[in-house]
Amino acid sequence: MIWPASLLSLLLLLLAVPIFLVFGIGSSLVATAGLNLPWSTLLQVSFGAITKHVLLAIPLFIFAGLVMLRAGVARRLVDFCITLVGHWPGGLGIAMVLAMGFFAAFCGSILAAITAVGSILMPTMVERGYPKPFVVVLAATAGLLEGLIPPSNAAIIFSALTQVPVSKTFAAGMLPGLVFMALLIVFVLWSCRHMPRDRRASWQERWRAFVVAIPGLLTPVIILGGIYAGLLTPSEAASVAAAWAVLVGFLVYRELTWRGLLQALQATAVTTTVIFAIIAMATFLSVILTYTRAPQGIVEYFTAFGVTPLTFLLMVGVICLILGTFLEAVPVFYLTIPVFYAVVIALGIEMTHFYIVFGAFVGLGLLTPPVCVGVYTAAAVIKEAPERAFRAVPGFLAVGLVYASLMIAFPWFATWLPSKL
Amino acid sequence: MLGVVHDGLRRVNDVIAVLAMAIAMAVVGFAVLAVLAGAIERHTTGMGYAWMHDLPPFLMPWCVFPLLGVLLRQDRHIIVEVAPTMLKGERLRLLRIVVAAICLAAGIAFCVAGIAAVSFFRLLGEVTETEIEIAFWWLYAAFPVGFGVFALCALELLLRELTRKAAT
Repeated sequence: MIWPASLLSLLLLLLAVPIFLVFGIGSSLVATAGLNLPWSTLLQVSFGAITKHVLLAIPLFIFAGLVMLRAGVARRLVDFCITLVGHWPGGLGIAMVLAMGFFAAFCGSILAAITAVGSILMPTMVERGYPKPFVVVLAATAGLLEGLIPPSNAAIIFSALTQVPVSKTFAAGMLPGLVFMALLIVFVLWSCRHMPRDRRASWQERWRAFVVAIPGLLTPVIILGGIYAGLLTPSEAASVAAAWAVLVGFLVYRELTWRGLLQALQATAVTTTVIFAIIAMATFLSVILTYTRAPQGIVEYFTAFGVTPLTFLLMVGVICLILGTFLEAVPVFYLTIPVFYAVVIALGIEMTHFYIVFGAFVGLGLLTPPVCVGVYTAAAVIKEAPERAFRAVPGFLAVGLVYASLMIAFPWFATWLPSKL
Repeated sequence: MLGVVHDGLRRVNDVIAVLAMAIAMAVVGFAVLAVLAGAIERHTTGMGYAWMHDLPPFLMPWCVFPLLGVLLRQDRHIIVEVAPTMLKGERLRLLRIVVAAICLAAGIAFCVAGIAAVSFFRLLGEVTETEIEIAFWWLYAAFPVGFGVFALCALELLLRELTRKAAT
């Protein structure tokens, strides 16, 4: 039953049936018709997955980010970044990378970050003569920082799947996030070396922009400080960040309206449903894996062939790159981690190292067409045809591959900070 | 005839969509407030009410499942967009009919299976281990309700595509 169901799932996937339903149909067929499991078991496991307390942090961080967007925080962060690096070659591009990095530190959603920072910077960049494809793919690539710099939804989902504490997966993403940021900045500097430069902002202008951006810059301190001081759980940190965003929006910047707050709630509900629907249905797959003992079989296969950790990580990279090309990040997580998890333990790979390597390749997969929602979102911001933007993908893909290679070669980037907790 | 049925169903689904969205927004809003209140409570009084901690995740299924159909209508679910970008005109419409039919069949199947499973849990009478006891069947009921709505929305999409042909 497994092979026919897999083929059916592949067919449904190609027909553009919603991914959550593909998971649901294929897995429930195998579970109920092949393994004779009752629906009550599937329901129990599925609800157990989506009612995990750790996953509650996802909608709360998304809400915080969306309120920040409507509160005018993103614009002030962008202005501050421009005063810092605007006069460098490709200054606006570098400002985008920095602003995405800051925004990543209080919002877990890649798309929210691209919309927030991109809608402010991208039109200006195009006006100043930056090539549209470059601008679109830069925004999409810089958006991947959301998956690294804590709090990130990817870290929360990985923790929910592997029982690694969220505080550790958050910490694991910090240094790799900075490395990725540095690589992107170098690439932008090199790509834009012939672009005309803006004037250098005075120290007075920088100070003014900094003061205005303080409420936004304080948010990561509240979130990460709260978590690592042991004062708040990730979900609580997210709710405090949301409350802080509402306060800043209503009382400090006075740009948030009740309508904007309701829109943020609505957008959060929609994004949460899209993510949680996949989680709910993909969990059916984990039931099948448990009953068929597939992960154990795969571990035996790997150990029998004497696969080394390096070979395994390279294989993970290729698989994730291919899957990420056709699927979104959440389905790739739920499709592969339950299988890889046992192998990672058997090979003695540090779980946070695996998370960073895995995340790097899934992220790269998200840049490659046809499924690259980041590129589509960024292209929509400046009304560019996504297929025209695709020609800028190879350069950024190369940066990503350099980053992923560094992460494989130096596990220290991913393991050092979590080891200090 | 199909057009009349489609219009009627669209109006019904419009009302359901508003209700489902209102419930989902209320769940998210409640989650933010309850978790925040729980954190403040714990730090100010040293106590913590279990319902502030446990209730928000238990309510998430009532945010997620009822919205499945609404997002199907709005084309917001994640899909692999290979076929829709390759096909044009009548072939694209045919693809949409096939996808809507698959969604309808799956929605009905999941709704029926969900009703059976929920009935089973209702017979068991299990409740959550939170301060406020919630019957598990009440939580699980989000599944058949959600897929019931999903089936209705899939039927609307199917009728829309079929009537589009009749119109042309």
